Amino acid sequence: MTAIQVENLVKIYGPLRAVDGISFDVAKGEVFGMLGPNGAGKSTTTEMIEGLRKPDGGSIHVLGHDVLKNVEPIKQRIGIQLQTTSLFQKLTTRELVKLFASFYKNTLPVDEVIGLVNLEEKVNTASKDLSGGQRQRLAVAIALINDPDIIFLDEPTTGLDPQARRSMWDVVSNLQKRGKTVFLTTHYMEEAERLCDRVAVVDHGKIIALGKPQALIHDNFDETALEFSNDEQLPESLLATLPGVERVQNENGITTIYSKGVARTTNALMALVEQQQTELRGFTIRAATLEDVFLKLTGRRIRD
Amino acid sequence: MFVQLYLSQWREFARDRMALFFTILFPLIFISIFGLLYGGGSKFDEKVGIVLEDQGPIGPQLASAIEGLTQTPEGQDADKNVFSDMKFSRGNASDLESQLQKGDLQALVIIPAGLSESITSGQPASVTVKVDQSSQVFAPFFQGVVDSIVQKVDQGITQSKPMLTMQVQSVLSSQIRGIDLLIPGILAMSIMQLGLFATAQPMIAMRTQGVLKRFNATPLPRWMLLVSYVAMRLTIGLLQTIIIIAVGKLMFDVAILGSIVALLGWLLLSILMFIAIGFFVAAIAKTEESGNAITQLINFPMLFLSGVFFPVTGLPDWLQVVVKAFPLTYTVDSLKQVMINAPPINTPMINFVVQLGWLVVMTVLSIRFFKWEAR
Ligand SMILES: Nc1ncnc2c1ncn2[C@@H]1O[C@H](COP(=O)(O)OP(=O)(O)O)[C@@H](O)[C@H]1O
Ligand SMILES: [Mg+2]
Repeated sequence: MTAIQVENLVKIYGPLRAVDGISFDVAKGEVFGMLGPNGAGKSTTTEMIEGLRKPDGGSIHVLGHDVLKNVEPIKQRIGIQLQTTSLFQKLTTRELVKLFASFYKNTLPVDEVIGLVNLEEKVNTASKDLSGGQRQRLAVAIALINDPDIIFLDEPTTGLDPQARRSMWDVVSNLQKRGKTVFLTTHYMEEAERLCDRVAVVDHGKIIALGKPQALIHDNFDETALEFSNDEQLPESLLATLPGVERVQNENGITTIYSKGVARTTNALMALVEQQQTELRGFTIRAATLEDVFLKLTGRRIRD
Repeated sequence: MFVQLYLSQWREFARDRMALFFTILFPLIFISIFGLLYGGGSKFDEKVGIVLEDQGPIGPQLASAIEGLTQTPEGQDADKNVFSDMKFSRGNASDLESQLQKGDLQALVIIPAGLSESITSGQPASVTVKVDQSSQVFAPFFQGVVDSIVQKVDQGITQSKPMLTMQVQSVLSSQIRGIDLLIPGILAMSIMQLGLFATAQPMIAMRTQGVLKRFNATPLPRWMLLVSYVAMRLTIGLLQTIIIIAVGKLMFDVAILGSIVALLGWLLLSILMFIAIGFFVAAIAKTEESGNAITQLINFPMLFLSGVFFPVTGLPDWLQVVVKAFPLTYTVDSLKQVMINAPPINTPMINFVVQLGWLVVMTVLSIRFFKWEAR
């Protein structure tokens, strides 16, 4: 059974088609991600599904209910973490969770949800005194208080340090283990690859790729990426003639060579470097990622 | 959920030192300062001229009754007679009139020739009181006092009894001190600022920061959020005004001449009115900055042109139009009437209808223009 069904969703802001005909299904128990750069339309899409914004076209069904007709029955069964959550500043973690618990018919024990996001040590800390990561986890705790079937997380790790990010990933993994459906947005390809069963890659309000992260990579690449920066900028045309090279992309001074024969390409590249008497900086050989998929499809990187 | 929401807002408020300061402490400091300035000691020391042209018996009696204001009857505290330091002088009309013009006198009572004669022959006659409007505090009260003396004398005539038994001190306004005058103003000021600073601004902040949006993502009905918000402000308002009155009463023994129930009723009405005005500001202001600007734009003119600090009767006509437009004018007037029997500017009916009108109109407009999200 599908948890979320979105068809041909459109949202227009003046001259801008912020969401431009998006369709996808999310299965129950699935962790589904929207990956895309800032302004791609992730939040707009998410909030339309949550019933917080009215679409200009298309249809949305959540747990079988038509969101555009009536969101109220769904509100009891979904949990929402907005991209920026701001709450009463001077209330403590426990007081805030308790407050939101009072809005729902069925709730988990307050201390249990605080435990789920590892905030036990901060139960009596005012929300304004929490760190960014802790505040974000508090927002997730509040999203979990009604033991929702679907949890929406809009950029849950943006602006967090690596440790706080990993801590949030643990929270999401645990939700998945508990059989929850998770809908999350992110502009970190690593996060999407690691957490999501399926990813919709979005740009300019459109889905440009949709599927399992590994499948997306494989569909687009059977190449390996060689990456470096080089002041003299070895000409792309020259690099493209090296053996095994499929494609060369140059962006922000970083050159990426996609190769089907890593050994051959590397050897030839090194010979070329010798011959041109130049240097490569930050030379790496890596497997292709969703970032490469995005780069291939749009010519831009997700983060700039 | 209502209880939780209400409690949460209380906690948020009670833990905010600035908000506490402005709603509770600030008015109290205000009272204390003015209490010490105007408290027990301050009295009217204005100079008043009396022109006695009447040759009959009534004129002199009136004149000496007015001059008798400075005397405190046996058994009463002389400190409480605010008129005991006043100076009276008699003279002819043109002399005293010019002294009044120069500001050497603050008031002039003219008892015209033939007053007694016309009264005994059954014709109405009047005493003229001229007051210097720049003595803003003194003028209305002196008028009131003379008016009551004239009424007493008049009653004496219809009962055809000697009038020497007049008890001028029994006139209520003679008990009014500066602090008594000021308390209704401070109450009105606090109520207005509750509406502006404690209602409008936090609501705008909740919208711009997305708190309202987050609540809307839950099953919490919107009306309940608003009702709890209003209930919370109403509680603060009542608490704040009751504290001000209680402290005024305990520290400075301020006057509450009308009924407590009537006073609470008027307070309730004006608190609700200013909460509604606060909501309207929150509805039309898009950002916290514009909200601040609008609240200040409302706060200052109203503070100075609604009779909070000084009576508005002396202001020029064109300003009177502005004064009449301000809802705070009606709050101040109604509170002054009920607390110190001040000379009314409007009838209680007008005060009630105008404030209720503001309440209804502001509520309707707020509902019409209210936005839940910043953009
Ligand atoms: N309320 C709004 N009014 C006007 N434009 C908006 C509004 N909300 C979003 N947008 C625009 O729509 C586009 C998509 O925004 P958003 O969904 O927030 O992107 P993302 O979450 O992927 O960063 C952006 O260009 C943004 O500026
Ligand atoms: Mg976003």
